[in-house]
Amino acid sequence: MENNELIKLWKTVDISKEQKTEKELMLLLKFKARSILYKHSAILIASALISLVIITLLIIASFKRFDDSLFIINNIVLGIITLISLIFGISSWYRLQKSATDKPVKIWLKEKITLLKNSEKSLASKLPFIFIPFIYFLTVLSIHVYFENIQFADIFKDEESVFGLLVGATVGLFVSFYVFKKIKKQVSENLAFLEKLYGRL
Amino acid sequence: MKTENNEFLKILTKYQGILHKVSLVYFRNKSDREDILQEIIYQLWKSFPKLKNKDSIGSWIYSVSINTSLSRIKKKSLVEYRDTVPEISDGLSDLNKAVKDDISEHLLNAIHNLDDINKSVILLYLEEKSYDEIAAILGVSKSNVGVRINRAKKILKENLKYLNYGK
Repeated sequence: MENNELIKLWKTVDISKEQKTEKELMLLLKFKARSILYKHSAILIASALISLVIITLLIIASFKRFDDSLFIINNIVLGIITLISLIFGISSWYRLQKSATDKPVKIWLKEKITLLKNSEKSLASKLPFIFIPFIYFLTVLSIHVYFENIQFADIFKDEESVFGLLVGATVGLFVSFYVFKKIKKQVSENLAFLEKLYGRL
Repeated sequence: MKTENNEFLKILTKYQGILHKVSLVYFRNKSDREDILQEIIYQLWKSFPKLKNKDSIGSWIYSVSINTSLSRIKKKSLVEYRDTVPEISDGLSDLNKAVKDDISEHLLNAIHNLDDINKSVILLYLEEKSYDEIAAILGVSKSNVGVRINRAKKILKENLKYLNYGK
């Protein structure tokens, strides 16, 4: 087959049915922009609300157990970690969304690969592995102390409490590591896909 | 802002053929093509204020369209690297509405069976873009463009032969 024949064949592909008017294009843009705005707002509002509920509950619990200084310290640490996680989570999500596509394909691929590699290597990507089990452990402690109506310091004196905490913390750790392993696998797969594309250019 | 939006819409209306063609080579399914069309329009609108060189609007639209399509393929895990050409699937019924005859359908089938980078290379070649333009859109050197096109054409012709066309 001659090369010109390929081009002639391509010209027989009809896209006229897919053509849209200026008004239709405007509607498509409005629809997409609105749906993205809703998605951004939903994520922002949901994260803020969850954090707000956690912090409010921590404050209420702390006021009710004002005499237990260890319990209050535990709740303050939990509150600070929750706030940091919220700010960090939202900012990194926005950073990923901002990634621009108006670049030559090879440069765009390289930037995406670098972004993913950096995020894989960065301390920030490892922090959840430390933070989540830590938050989980502190939360379990806080809930246990509050509902069992005991002093924070007494928790380690009670055999039953220690056993419950150990079982709970172990299960929680396994679940969080499993989830993060899954996320890490997905990131690695994305990276491998982009590197494969980049290698073909 | 309103003037900028109007200017953007005028450009989009004029160049929308590029969006349809890129989506046609990357997505077999009509609903996927409609989704990607919206996404490309949004990405173009987002980056339009940063567009400095208005002489190369076509190249800018191609780059954004191809990058957005590749991004979508990654998200939806639609990527398939094939060593052999599969038979024509039932999913092509949607595509039949977009193409008028069997010949162009055969060509589209053959293009769909290329890998994701060769799809772009062959599209730009079939659209008769110059080596300079292809190099700018893909971000490769001009000397590399000819090699890529020849490779992609060779695979495309093999695919067409497999589909019993163009012996």
